Amino acid sequence: MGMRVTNGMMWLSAQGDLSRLRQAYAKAQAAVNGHVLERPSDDPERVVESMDLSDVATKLQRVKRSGQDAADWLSNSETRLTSVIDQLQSARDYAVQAGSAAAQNPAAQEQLANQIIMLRDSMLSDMNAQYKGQYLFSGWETDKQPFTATATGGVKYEPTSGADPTNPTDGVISREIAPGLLVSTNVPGGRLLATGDFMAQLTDLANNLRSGNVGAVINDGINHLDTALDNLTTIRSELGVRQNQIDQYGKFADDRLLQVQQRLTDISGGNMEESIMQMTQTQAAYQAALSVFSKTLPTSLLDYMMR
Amino acid sequence: MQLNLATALNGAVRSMQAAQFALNVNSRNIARANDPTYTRQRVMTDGSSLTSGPGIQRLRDAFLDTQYRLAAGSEGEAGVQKDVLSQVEDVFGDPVTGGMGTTLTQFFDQWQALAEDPADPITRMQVISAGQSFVTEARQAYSQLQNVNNSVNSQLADKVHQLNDKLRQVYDLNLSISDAGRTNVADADLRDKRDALLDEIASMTGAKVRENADSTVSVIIGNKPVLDGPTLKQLTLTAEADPVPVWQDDAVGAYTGSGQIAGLVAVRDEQVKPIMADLDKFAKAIANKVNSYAPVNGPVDPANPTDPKRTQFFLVGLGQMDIAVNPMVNQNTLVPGYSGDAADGSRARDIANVADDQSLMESNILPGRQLSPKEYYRDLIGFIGSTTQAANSAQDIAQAHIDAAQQHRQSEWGVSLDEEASGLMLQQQAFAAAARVINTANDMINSLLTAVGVS
Repeated sequence: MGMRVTNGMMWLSAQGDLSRLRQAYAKAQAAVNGHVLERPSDDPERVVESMDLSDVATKLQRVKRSGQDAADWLSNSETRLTSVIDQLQSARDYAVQAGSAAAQNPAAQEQLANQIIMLRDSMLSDMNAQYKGQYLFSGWETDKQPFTATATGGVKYEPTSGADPTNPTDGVISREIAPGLLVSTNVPGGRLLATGDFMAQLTDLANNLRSGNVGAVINDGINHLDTALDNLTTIRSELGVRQNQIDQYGKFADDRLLQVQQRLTDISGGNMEESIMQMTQTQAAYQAALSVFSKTLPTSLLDYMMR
Repeated sequence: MQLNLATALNGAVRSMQAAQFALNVNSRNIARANDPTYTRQRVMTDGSSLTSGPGIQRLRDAFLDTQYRLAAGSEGEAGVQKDVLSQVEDVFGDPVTGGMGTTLTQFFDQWQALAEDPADPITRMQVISAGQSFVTEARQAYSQLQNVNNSVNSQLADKVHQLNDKLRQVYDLNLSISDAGRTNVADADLRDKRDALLDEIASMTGAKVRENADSTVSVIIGNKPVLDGPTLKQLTLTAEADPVPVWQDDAVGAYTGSGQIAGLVAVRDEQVKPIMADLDKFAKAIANKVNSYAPVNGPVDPANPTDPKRTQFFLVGLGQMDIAVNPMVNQNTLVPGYSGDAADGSRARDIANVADDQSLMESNILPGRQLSPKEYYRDLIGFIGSTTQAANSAQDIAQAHIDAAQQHRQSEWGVSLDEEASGLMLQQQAFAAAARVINTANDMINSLLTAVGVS
């Protein structure tokens, strides 16, 4: 004899089947809404992977911001440095002019000396420039004005941080522009004066002009300025290199962030077409089961005895 | 042997009565067709029904009950574990976009941001608020786990109470159910009731049931006969904060059963509590590590100038998860660099690197090696996820067993309306046939009386 099939059994299996189908439908629906991984138990391995990925994403987002910030610092430093170089170049031009025949009178020399002093003072304001309320050339002590004029017409670098140009890390501010890659964004003020106090040299130059000591101007004065210009130009080209690095890695961070987010969507959001197909299928199965059970469950021999 | 017409009449009446009795049984079966605790009844059709009246038989099978109760015990144990673990999972929120993990990542990331822009007061404030978010999330996770733990304890108390109640009911039913043999209708109902209670007891404790010759049942929980003849043991809970079930008045009191009660104790002691302790250890390890860099320069208390508090970012107390951001921390007292220079972020960078410092702590639940904060949290979520997943599939399997067992039982003693309907027709025909016998006998007597000229 076969197995007895009772109404209770049919009811039980209908209940079990419907609840399983309903669960599958709900799960597919959640996937369409982008929630494949709602709880760690949904898929522990993938949850852990997506945690790592979202960690990387957070890092990349900060690195991107920090790259932009670093670029701003660098370009501000570069602008100021270029301005100093240009003015120093002009001062050198005046010094060269002092040797020409037309300048061989006290009035013209006084005039040149005044120009040089004006340039010197304007350079000082560039060297004390600020960005977002912080001094660009103060090393780590960005809340302190780096350069002060001395009584003898020179300049003094005040902060202790960034005073030693021979120490490559002294007063250097770094930013992480790609995970693990640090780029220094500032020029510690000590480095500007690495070849000597060019402000004092400019003052000497002006004094020599005024006192008619043209020989000293042409020989020592111009030589000093050339050395200072060399130093400043080297620093500026370093800034350029760093700027390029930031551009390059900024793009890297963008690309990587896109990849990470793509992967994260793949893992946690799933494939939309597939999810929708899945949902349609489970829905059809669920509805079919509902209508079948609603027809078969209440039927028994009793229905045919009634007339 | 002489049979006369009176005997035939008598037999016909008896068979009409039997048909009516059977109709009653059919009617009762139909009325209780949807009651899952009801056992189908059948008229006993042995020869004695002609002499002593009809009896009924319950179509119950002790083997199927044993199978079902075995499955119910495992399902009960797996089911409560699954429920509790899914609550634990909820505590940690969406692991990818929310919860404690995100605040942890942000906390260290803000230190990194501070390392790069140490002078910016906004970044400093963000470090402080990230620290507060981390502490808040950690405390919240802990207190939610505490709630889960409390709810496990109250469920446990509830189950113990229910178990005692049901054991007592079975004890009482043992006294009421008369000895075996011919079952009467009232007895059948009492037995159904007792079987339903035994199913529930099995789900709570994984109890085994033995039916005795005198129609009583003995209940054995974890090899201990707790209900046996005059013996009735009651379960009670110890007085600890996280109580353990023990049998009252028993030399070896420990509860050795399985089922929901064992499941609740196990999930509490093996999952919830260790996760809580680990989380506490983890948050404190991070707080103490950050403090070890002394990133704060708070005002010196003249009464206690060496108080280490003034350099601490987090205040760590002795209590569970007793952590807070030091109120002395603000954008002016935070010192991101060792030199104290405005743009020195060296200290902040060291603190940011703690995120990947693989010597932070060793986990209790995943022992074996030292982990970094990120690794630890990731492993914790992985642990909770896979434990819950395992509990889910254990419950699925147990559920499949219990479903199959229940199908068997329904197949064996569930009511089939088709059978009952055909039974109705059968009784109707038997009744009609018996009436026909009376009619025929009556005709015969009539013709006899006519022949002798009586009428």
